[in-house]
Formats: sequence, structure tokens, C-alpha cells
Amino acid sequence: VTEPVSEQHGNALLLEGSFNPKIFQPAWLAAQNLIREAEFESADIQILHEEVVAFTLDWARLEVRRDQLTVLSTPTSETPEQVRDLVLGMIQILDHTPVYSVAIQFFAHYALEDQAERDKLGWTLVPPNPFKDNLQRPGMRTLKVLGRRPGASEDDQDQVAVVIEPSARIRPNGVYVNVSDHYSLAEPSDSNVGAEPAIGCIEEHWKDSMQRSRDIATGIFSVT
Amino acid sequence: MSPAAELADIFTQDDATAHQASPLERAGNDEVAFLIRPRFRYLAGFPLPDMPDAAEDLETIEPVEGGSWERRFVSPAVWTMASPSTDTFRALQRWEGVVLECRDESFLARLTDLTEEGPAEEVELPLSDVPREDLDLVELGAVFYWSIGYRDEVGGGRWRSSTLRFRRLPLWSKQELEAAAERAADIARVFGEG
Repeated sequence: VTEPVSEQHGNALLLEGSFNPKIFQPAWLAAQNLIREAEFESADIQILHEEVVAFTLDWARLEVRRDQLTVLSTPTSETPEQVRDLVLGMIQILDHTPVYSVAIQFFAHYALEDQAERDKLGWTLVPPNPFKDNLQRPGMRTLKVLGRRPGASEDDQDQVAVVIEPSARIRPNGVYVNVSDHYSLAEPSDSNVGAEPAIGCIEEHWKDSMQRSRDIATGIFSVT
Repeated sequence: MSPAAELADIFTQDDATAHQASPLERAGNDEVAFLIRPRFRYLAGFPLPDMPDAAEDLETIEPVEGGSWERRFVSPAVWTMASPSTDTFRALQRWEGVVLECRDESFLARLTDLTEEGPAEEVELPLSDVPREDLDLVELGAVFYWSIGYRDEVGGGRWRSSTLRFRRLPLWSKQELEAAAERAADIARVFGEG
């Protein structure tokens, strides 16, 4: 089993709901004591627009649109819990914000020994046989696999999405894996939903989800 | 069609046709450009009128009594999910800690290993290790993260780093309250009060 190149992995939380992007600015986070004053002062702002706000702190990247709030770790994040706590802090303060779903995400770049090893992985996951009559050296570019969580009840139709593709960071033989663990909480038509179900969901599932995602990611390499 | 649904259509990923995965499913693996097209956004006051199915018919509807309509221009914008060259932190060991006791120049904490399962440990850490802006957060029960690892600089330098970061949650979480209640019940049982 190939272990992740540890300096090149990260995590994210993606919330779907109804947000006011203009609220989510570095100054607001500092005023709410969710980040340090110095982090607010050194924030790198990509865009402040009525439809979207995006900026990067040393350890997190935030992007807020009217229908989506995303917090991603950066290569200098110290621990994945930073992303979780920042999201929890924001939605605890804005507890009437409707949140319809949560996705807990893990991604990592793996360095494989050589091209042959990467080809072997690609051809194991996507056998070339169906293509070989019409394509020379068919190879996997992006693979997306959906499945339900182990032990999920019949009523639970939420999906875990796994994306595998060549790494843009580790060249030429790197592999990128992204695991997105999705939890539906309410229908967008539900006018009574707030942030509380999302807070409960993140608190309840964070640890298991992160572990499962790591297991999924490393498990991919056990097939070769 | 509701205004919320109308809004959902305004984002376009430049290379959406090149990849099957969405930008976030490729987070950290590519630079992605986003675009907001110039458009009008319709804001409805309450109560809501019946909404037409097609966006072009929005102008034809009349607000119901007590309701209102506002048409607002959304300016175009482009931004990128850039991944500029940056330092990286590679954690060798991570712990979550809880402050058990505050002293003049140090604090006592219980540590849980976040890197691999292991028994909890108690340590005494100097306050001088705490970042200046986190000093106010050091109090009984405060949660912090302690990470030891390598910080690799873009310029090629590497230095060993030990970082303390105190958690900044505004409220006790439900999980923490339940864990505290459980611990209190355990203690009560020890003293025969359970």
C-alpha cells in the first residue's frame, strides 16, 4: 500500500444552503474571534462580490456563494480540525442560516515509483480491453466512483464520491484521490431548517468520515 | 422558478467540459477559473407571488398584495481557485489537548494523539510556547491542537516546527456537553451518587 505524500493532502467542508456571502469576510471572522487578528490582516482576498466572497488565510481557504459555503485546508494547515472548527464556529454564530447538506472531503496526492506502476493502477481500475480495438494505449484520465456508506440503511441514499486522476502536484507519476462524503439534511424547500442539523452532522460524523476517507484512498493502491 | 433556483445557474467552470469532476472534487489538484456572467437578479419581497417557470417571464408577474419585486444588476466577475507556490507544513505528530490546570508560567494539559490511537497523556507546557493572540484562550477546559512537523519553504529551507493553536469555537458543542455529562456521571458513580 502506498502511503500518502503527507505534505500534500488536505480536507474541506462543503455546505449547501442559503448564505449571504458579504458577511463572510476576514474582518468578520476576526471580530467573532474565529481567527487571529494577525491572520485577518494577512488574508489574501481573491474576490469580494455580492454573489461570492473568496479569500485565503495561511491555513484555510474560504469561498462563499449564495448557495454554497466551502472551507478548504491549505498546504500550511497544521491539522484538519482547523477547517472543521472554523465552519462550526461560523454556523454556530449564524445559527438561523439554512444548511441543506454537508460534504466532508479528504484529498491527497500519492507518489508512485514510476510510470509502469501508475499505468498498472489505471489499467486495474479501468481495464483497457473495452477500448483497445479502437484506441492506442487507452488510459484512465479521471475516474469517479459513487457508493453508499458501509452499513447505510435503505432510507439513507447519500453517496460517497471518490475521484481518482493524475496528480497535478506530483509529476510525472503522482496520483490524486478525492473522497467526498455527502450528507443530505433537508430539502431546499424546507423553510424551517437552520444550521443546527449541519452542526450535529459535522460533530457526529467528522472523525469516522475522515478515517473512512483515508482508508478508501489508501485502499485504492492495494489492488495493484 | 424561485429566485434561489434562478441564482443557481450563474456559475460556470471554465474547463467544465474538460473534466467530469466538479471543481471541489478536484480541490488541491488544479487551478480552476470561475466566472459570474453579468445578469439581473430578482429579489422577491414577501409574500411571494406565483413564480413563472421561465426566467424571461419574470418581468411579467405582478407582486401580490403586500409583496414586492426588486431587479438588481449583478456585475460580472472572474476569479480563480489558485494554488500559488507556498510553504508546506508536514505534520509528524498531532495531538488534541485539553487544559487541566493553569499555572503562572505554564499549563497542565491532557493530550489525545490525533496521529494514531494511543493512551491519553498529561503534559506541562510553557505559556511561552503559546502564540500571543491565543494567550487569552488559555483557561481550564480550553481545547488546543499541538502539531510537530516540518515547515518546508518555497525557497528550499526546512525547519522543524512545533505549533500550538487554541480552538476558537463560540459555544460548547453538543458532543462536548454530552462527553462532559458522561464524565460527570462517571465521577458521581465513583462517589456513590449514581
